Amino acid sequence: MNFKTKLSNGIKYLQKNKSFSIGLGIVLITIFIAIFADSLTPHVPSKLNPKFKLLPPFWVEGGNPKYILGTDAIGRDLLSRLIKGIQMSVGISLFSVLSSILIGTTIGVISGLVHPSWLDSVLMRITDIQMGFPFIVLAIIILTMVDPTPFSCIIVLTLSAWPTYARVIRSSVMIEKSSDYVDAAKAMGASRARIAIKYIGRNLLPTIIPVAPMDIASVVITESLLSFMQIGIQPPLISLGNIMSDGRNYISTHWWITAIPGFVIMIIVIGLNLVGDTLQTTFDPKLKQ
Amino acid sequence: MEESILEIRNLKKHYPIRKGLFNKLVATKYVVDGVSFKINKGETLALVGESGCGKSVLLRLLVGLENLTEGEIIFAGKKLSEMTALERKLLQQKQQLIFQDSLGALHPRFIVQESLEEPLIINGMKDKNKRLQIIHETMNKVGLDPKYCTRYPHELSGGQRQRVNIARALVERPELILADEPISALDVSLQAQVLNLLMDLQEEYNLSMLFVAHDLAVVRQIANHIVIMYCGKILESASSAEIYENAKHPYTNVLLKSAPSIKKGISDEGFNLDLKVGDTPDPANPPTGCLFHTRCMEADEYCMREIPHNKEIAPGHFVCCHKI
Amino acid sequence: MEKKSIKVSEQNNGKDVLLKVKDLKTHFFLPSGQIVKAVDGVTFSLEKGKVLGIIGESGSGKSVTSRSIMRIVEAPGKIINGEILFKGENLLTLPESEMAKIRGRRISLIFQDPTTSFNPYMTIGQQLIEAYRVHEKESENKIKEIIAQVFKLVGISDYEDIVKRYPCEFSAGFRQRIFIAMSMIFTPDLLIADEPTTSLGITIQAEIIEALNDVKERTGTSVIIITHDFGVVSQFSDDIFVMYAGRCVESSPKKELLLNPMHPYTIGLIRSVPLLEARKTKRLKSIPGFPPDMMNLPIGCAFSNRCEFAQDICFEKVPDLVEIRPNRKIACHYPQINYQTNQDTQI
Ligand SMILES: Nc1ncnc2c1ncn2[C@@H]1O[C@H](COP(=O)(O)OP(=O)(O)OP(=O)(O)O)[C@@H](O)[C@H]1O
Ligand SMILES: Nc1ncnc2c1ncn2[C@@H]1O[C@H](COP(=O)(O)OP(=O)(O)OP(=O)(O)O)[C@@H](O)[C@H]1O
Ligand SMILES: [Mg+2]
Ligand SMILES: [Mg+2]
Repeated sequence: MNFKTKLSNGIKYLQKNKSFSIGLGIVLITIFIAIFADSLTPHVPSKLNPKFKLLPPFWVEGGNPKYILGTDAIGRDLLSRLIKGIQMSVGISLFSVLSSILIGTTIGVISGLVHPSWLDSVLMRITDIQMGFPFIVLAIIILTMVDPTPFSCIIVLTLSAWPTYARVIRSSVMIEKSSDYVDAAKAMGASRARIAIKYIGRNLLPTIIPVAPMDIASVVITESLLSFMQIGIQPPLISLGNIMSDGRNYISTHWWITAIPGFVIMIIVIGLNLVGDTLQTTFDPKLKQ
Repeated sequence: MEESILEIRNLKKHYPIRKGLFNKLVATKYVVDGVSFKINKGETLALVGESGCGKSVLLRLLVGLENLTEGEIIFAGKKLSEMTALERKLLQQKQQLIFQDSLGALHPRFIVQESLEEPLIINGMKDKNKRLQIIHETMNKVGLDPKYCTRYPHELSGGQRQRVNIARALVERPELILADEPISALDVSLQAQVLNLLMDLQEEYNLSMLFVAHDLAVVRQIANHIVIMYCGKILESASSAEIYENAKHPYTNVLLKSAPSIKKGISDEGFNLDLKVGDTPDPANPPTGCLFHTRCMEADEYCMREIPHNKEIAPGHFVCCHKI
Repeated sequence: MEKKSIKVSEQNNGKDVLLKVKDLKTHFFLPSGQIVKAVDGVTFSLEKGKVLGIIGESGSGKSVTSRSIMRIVEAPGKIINGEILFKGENLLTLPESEMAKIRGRRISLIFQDPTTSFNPYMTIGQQLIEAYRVHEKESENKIKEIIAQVFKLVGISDYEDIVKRYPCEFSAGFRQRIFIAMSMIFTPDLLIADEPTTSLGITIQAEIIEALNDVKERTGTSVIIITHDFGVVSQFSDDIFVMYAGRCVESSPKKELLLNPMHPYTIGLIRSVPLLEARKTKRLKSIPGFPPDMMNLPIGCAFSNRCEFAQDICFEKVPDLVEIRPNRKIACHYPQINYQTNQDTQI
């Protein structure tokens, strides 16, 4: 099977798979919004408009078609804020997951390769400590000590996500390491670096790729939680979490301020999970045998 | 005196079994325990023994995948322990291992071409066209259409997979092939194909071969010399003709006589196993005296106590049994 | 003898026939849209107390046949056609709850690798008791009695020590023996052994076959043994059933098949069995070519492209399974009726 037929087979498979198409659609739209946020916003997101405070979405009684999703307590356009919020939340989550993959993979590969040794034990104890530490406490400590900029948020979120990768990668490296094909490579005289990169590496990507979207989803939630608790992204920066946080006091009377960002988070999370689910079956270690 | 390509002397591999918090040594597994033999240039030595007797471990010792506990490996007159790094690297090209599990030995995400290219790349052949040429040549030699180059291992049948493994062992033009049960996992019809293939290749390239099997019928056609292994030790070794006509060890006789066969099926013979019912010995807790006494019909008290020694009962025919 | 038993079975019209499989088809519907016709029209029957050997190349559908009988075909696979009459009852129409009662109790399956069939963290004794209690409630003492009996069946007398130990403490052969004992706790009517001896070595293999044989002799259980080792089926079974690419190519009482194989595939198989008695000839006989790709089978007879007797029709039309003599069925356009195996030289 060459690459082309494989690709067309893949496309056919995706066409058959409805939930994947939906998931992929959501993810692509989200990415599009995140990239072109600045040109998509109908209003300046931080501009106050005292005339139109707490405007409901246009389909609700009293709404204004100029402010499709309504406005918040100080009259800022909710749609524009939502678009910027998506950009911030998704951006932070993406970077956090990418850096956790980088750190987790490095540590996992090293640990797995040197397995029965003190280095492996040390690395795994560090991972365990990191995994065992209550994340929220850690987040509060760090974010109150340093300035809660997007960068420090990324660091905090990375800290929470890398140990899982390290664990998963380490155990798959250990399995690979004892496989016959790695033995065969050793018997041929392959160098350690070659075995690590070409033989073991080639099997790692398929382990990581399917988990990544699901992980991004869970980091999106965590990030919103931090911002909602007002220890994450701080105004004037906008994230999905702090839009919701803004609407906290008005939940009973002006539900849309909290509900709409919440709904957006839910959609993004579902989209990412649908994609991850399908990737998992597609990248099955047994190669769909 | 014929020239030997591989000689091993008193090879041993013991695995410590550790348990508990402090990795306390609780027992030792005598997996390979004092094995010696010699393979002459261009000849085939068959190592025959049952599941778990240490055949695969022995081969892994030979290619350096495990460290020796004791003993000496001599390749073409040169001791392995005295070889320089460069000589060892050359040795890796000259002797090639065919793994027991044909699927497991191929990387699941490498297409056939990649798997076959690996040894050439590792040994520094930079020219891609030359590599491809060698690969196609070798594939033709082992009876694989080069169109299979782009297949993944799981897209091949068992027989084709085993051919890829053989091809991989051949691309380097080795002098010695170590074949670990290359046909046990194959169907009868493919067994004969692969065995024929190995014999043809052997003739064409003047290969020497160490052929591992668990069954004497299979090696009849291919072996010049046969070594019978049981629980890490050699019980009998002789030329092929001697073994088939004049086997002396009770275990060899069991292997020869109790193999199920079509002929016995036709003549309605039952199973006449000349063995005591019991477990094959545990290498971590080997029997005292003769290893085979727990299942041997002729064993007496002496066999239980005393370890037998190799006796040469005819030129080149060694038996390790008290009863001879 | 042979003829008599045929008549009896015909007269009693299925009374002493334990299992009758008719035109069984099990296909795998892959997500990519391809269909693997793993079992495509298999028909055979098995009498009480007899041993049927199923032989065929890897991938020919032997395991899928046995799993279809147990109705444990996994996910993309489906039994799409056929009848499996077990003691006159069609297993395929039985509700799942009834089938669960038959599995492990009336029909037992023995796998190639017994390691995976045991739970590594339970002692042998605990697992035997567990296996019993899945189906029936009984006091521990009564079960212990039964356990003693099944161990005796497979030739193990001092079982006291064995039941206290864990599966990993035994060698592969002994584990298989214990597993056979375990499958016998309900004295099933049918034991299906799927490659119970592959790649173990002769003495271990012989021990396992002997254990199966003992079990059969002592309890009258019928056995289906699946293997690609011709020696094993030749010595152990009463009838042989040859499979190729999901279909039955030849089925016959053992001796007739061994002395006078008619299907070119069977002939090829028998010829390529390595023989202890053979002279050191230069080459072994073998069937040229490879087994077909199950996802795209040839149009005509699946064996046509490897067959030395193939004519035009073989590439166009799938041969039907016909009974050319009582109890001898063959699916071939050109059966080699006069072929005789020569047992002394290379056959
Ligand atoms: N790394 C290891 N540590 C401890 N014991 C081992 C190790 N590798 C192998 N053994 C043991 O060595 C023994 C011999 O194993 P080996 O794989 O050589 O058998 P074999 O003769 O090749 O059998 P088979 O015919 O089943 O392949 C087994 O009892 C096995 O458990
Ligand atoms: N879960 C599955 N999904 C798809 N195809 C399958 C599945 N299980 C079996 N098959 C296919 O069904 C065919 C028959 O398989 P089966 O396991 O019955 O072969 P077998 O005759 O038992 O071979 P072996 O001697 O190797 O055990 C094969 O071509 C196999 O690829
Ligand atoms: Mg082995
Ligand atoms: Mg099978």
